[in-house]
Amino acid sequence: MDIIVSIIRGILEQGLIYGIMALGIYITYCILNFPDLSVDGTFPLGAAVTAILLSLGFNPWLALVAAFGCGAIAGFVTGFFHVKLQITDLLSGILTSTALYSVNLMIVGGTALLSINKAKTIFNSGLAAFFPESMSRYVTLVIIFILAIVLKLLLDLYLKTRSGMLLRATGDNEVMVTSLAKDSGKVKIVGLMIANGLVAVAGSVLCQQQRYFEISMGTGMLVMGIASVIIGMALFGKIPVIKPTLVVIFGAIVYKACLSLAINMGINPNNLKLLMTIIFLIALISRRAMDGKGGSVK
Amino acid sequence: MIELSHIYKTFQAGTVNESVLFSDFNLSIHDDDFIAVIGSNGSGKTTMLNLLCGSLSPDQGQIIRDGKDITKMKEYKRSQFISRVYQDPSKGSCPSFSILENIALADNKGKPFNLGFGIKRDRLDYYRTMLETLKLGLENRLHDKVGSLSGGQRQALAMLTSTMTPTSLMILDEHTAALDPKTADNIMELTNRLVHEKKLTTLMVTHNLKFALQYGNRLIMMHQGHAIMDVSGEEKKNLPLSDILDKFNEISLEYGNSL
Repeated sequence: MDIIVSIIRGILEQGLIYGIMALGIYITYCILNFPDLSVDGTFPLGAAVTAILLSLGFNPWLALVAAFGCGAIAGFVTGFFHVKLQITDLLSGILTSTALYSVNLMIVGGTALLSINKAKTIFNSGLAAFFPESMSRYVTLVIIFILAIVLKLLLDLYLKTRSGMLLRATGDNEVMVTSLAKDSGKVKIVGLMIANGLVAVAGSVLCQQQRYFEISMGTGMLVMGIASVIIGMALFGKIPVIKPTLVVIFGAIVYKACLSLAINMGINPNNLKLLMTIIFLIALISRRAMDGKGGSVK
Repeated sequence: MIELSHIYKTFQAGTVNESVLFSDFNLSIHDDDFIAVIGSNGSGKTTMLNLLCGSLSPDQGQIIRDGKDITKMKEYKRSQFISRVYQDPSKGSCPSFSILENIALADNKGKPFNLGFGIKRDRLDYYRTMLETLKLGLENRLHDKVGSLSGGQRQALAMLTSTMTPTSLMILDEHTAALDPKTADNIMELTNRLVHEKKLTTLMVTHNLKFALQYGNRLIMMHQGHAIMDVSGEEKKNLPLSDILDKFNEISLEYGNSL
């Protein structure tokens, strides 16, 4: 029984962390129609910044903010490549994430693995002290939960502002943005900044939860993020009371649950990426089948 | 006043397909003009609109607004004073937005798009009154997605939203061409009402000769990059449809088309 509880706890913790990332991917993939591959670099960027700041003794909440800032800068770079230098969306993201591989190594001082075992994190200092001893096993989960919900609500709020409406309009009908006398290129850059900021925050939280930074932790993040978004949309997208921002978090949890189930059934971890692709394909095809349309995959 | 002055435009210059569209083309759009533009395909109507809006730039020549040269001004910046309604009704609104959100978006044109809330509750009554004038019942469907509306309804909405904020030139790019005849008539009536109520300077490209004759104070017929007919005021009012038809057939026949 204990094992099952701890597996579920693990799924929820990880699912919510990747849910934060899915919020970012929701902005690029769903709102802007921009398959942003830079997330494979910005996710470990958030982790790298966090690992180095925490090992230097900085406040762990500050590390989250710093991660957001660095992610936003990386998003700006991708946007600059695409909008100003007119490089295609896919290639812009690949260029940024390739460059970030080196940048991330630079940040952590050239090591592929940086452990922060003794550092203060958001899970063992500050807010964590308010929890009673009996809840100690759930502190991490509760804090991640609060963080994910707060970020979701902030994003909901942002999307209702004039700036947020313009962001949604850009993905929906770019001609409209031009006719509102606004530069749709700038709006895309802002969207990419927010999205990659959120992805970096997810990287920061994962780094604090598992207490190490590892250079390859970003590999396959876009695929995982889009899979979460698609699974969420397929399972919960038709329920009108649930906002898309919550849908994608649910999607991330379901996705993690599928992976966890597979591992607990004894699948070789080496085959995990293969499995991720298969889950992705199933989600994509089933969504299309449910929509009753053969055409576009989105 | 907006002027196209000594405009030259060649497409695919330097290739075997080179086509000179405009050479020394001039047009003055006076304030409060309601100009109907007709002409066969390839006569330069759409290129003229694109030059005015800034989606194309001329090879030579200037675009001047109230004495200021705007030739190099970017398209989105020109939208501050030019509004455009397209042939395709889906271009004038955001499909995943509700009617309310689309109107609110247009209402915010000219204001900074910052972190203020996009929808102001105290504007709702104004939006409803505005929608009531369309007589399409849209005022009761504020929260419906625009993607679920018909082409005619979307075009009516686009006419409303594009004229919500003051504009010094309204461009109608065959805006009734994708609609059925009855709906086209309704949209044209709405256009005429808005143009007169708001005193809009309007440039309307149309393939509908009846509309071109019936509406507006000035009529221009384009052919091979030239305005071969430009009549206004009383002269236009007294112009019989047969004259236009004859002229139009003349230029069309040269190209093997007929009406």
